Amino acid sequence: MQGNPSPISSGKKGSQSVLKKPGSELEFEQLLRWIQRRFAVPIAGLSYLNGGSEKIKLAFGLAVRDIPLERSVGLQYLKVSDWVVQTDCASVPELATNPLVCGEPFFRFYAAISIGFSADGNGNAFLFLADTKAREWASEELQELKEFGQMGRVILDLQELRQPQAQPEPKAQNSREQTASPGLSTELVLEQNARLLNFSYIVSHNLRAHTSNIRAILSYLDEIEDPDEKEEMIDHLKKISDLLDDSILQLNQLASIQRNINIEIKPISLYQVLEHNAALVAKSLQKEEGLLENLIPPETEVRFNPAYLDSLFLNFLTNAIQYRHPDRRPEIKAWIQTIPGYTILTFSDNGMGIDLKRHGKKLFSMYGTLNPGKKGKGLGLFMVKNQVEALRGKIEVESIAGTGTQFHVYFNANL
Amino acid sequence: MDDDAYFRLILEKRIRKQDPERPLYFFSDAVELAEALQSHFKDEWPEIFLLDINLPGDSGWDLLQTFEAEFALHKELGGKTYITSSSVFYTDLEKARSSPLIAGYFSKPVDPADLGL
Repeated sequence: MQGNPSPISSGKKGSQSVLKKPGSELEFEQLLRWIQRRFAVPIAGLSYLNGGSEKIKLAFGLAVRDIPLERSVGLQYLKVSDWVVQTDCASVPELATNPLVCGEPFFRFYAAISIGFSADGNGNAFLFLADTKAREWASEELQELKEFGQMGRVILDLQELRQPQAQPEPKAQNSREQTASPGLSTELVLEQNARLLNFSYIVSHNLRAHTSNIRAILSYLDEIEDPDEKEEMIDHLKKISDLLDDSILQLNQLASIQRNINIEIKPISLYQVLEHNAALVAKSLQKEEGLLENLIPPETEVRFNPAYLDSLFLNFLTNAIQYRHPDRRPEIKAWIQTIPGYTILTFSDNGMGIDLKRHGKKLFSMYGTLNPGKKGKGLGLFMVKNQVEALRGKIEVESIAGTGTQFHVYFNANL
Repeated sequence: MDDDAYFRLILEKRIRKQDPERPLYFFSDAVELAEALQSHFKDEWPEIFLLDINLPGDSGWDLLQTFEAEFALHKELGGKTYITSSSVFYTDLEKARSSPLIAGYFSKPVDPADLGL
């Protein structure tokens, strides 16, 4: 900021989440370290209102302390805006006499970004960074500060979700719900969080992969004259725009699985659905001289969504064929087992197998393709897992690299 | 090293336009790259190595670790490896910043001028 050393810069106040009790501080510690490094400042901290004072909950380069409200540097601005940047506190009249500015720790540069409300609901929780020297501030730095703030909000939200919920009073007439395995809900919440992060990663990576290609081609189009080459580039643009459209459609599909509460559920014969889908891959199975043994009793029914079940079997079948072992004929088996609360379908192949230690995380992740050279879209198992979980089931995998893979699908009997 | 065919194609065309003579090598998967490392890159590591993060199978990060460990390429990789990614995800950026092997991070698209070409 040239000339005028320190205008009061701050943004408008937006909607905010509520900070109740910050749980683990580990994530914030990491975040503060990043902030410190990114902005090359000696001081970074997490601060929130506690009764009548601002409590610096966690800080680097600064002792953790309580500050009377009227002495808080950031609070007066954060009451009305989401962020504040002071490039030189000493030249701002209302800050120049602040004990934290004219005395230890001698704040000169100060910036803060709000991440939520404090427990009593009338003040801010925020991240701040500070230096004992005045500092320049570039507009792109504000963008980054806002991104850090966003991260802070995400951490808070996750911590909220991790707080143990009060046990509801058991209701005698609702015993069916209670048989659905205890503890599952916390697990599911954590998994949903992981999925959300994964989702934002996809938006960040996958959609941008297309848009960055479009940008690159447009730049190149500006550089070239040859009409044939120009035409070639336009062709590429068309294909990329189709790919982009596909990606968005897939994300839409996925969002609808995760949101939809009115999924059609009816009793379905597992045996028949497997037979039906096996017919769809009969050609490729035949080509590899493969063998399918459907050991499911024809009369066994599970309550599930018909389209999801088709997608489940088709995915398992095509995976088993595509990732067959090069040295042997594919052998696929499916059978079931019943335990209280669940019907378990096991789908087994003698294919390449998966090194779960190495790839386990990626197996069910979106766009997580495992085999270089094989053209997996990396979407199938991710969708299957989401669909099974949307219907309160779960899916497990066992595999030995080089030997084969077994998927176990738990169909919830109380659906 | 990038599995995105469009990225490779456009980058190659744009670099070629600036500098038709420069030797360029493109790899779309880890197997191809590992072969090259053991053959024609053995004595002469390229001046600039662009590595994508999101690859089929092992990620770019995994590859980097493997190469460093198996081929003792710390010196060769250090200072010449640039992460190229369409990711604007924050953890990727941070990881690149903190790795001693990584000289820089390019968010795609990559312009030849970014590479000093």
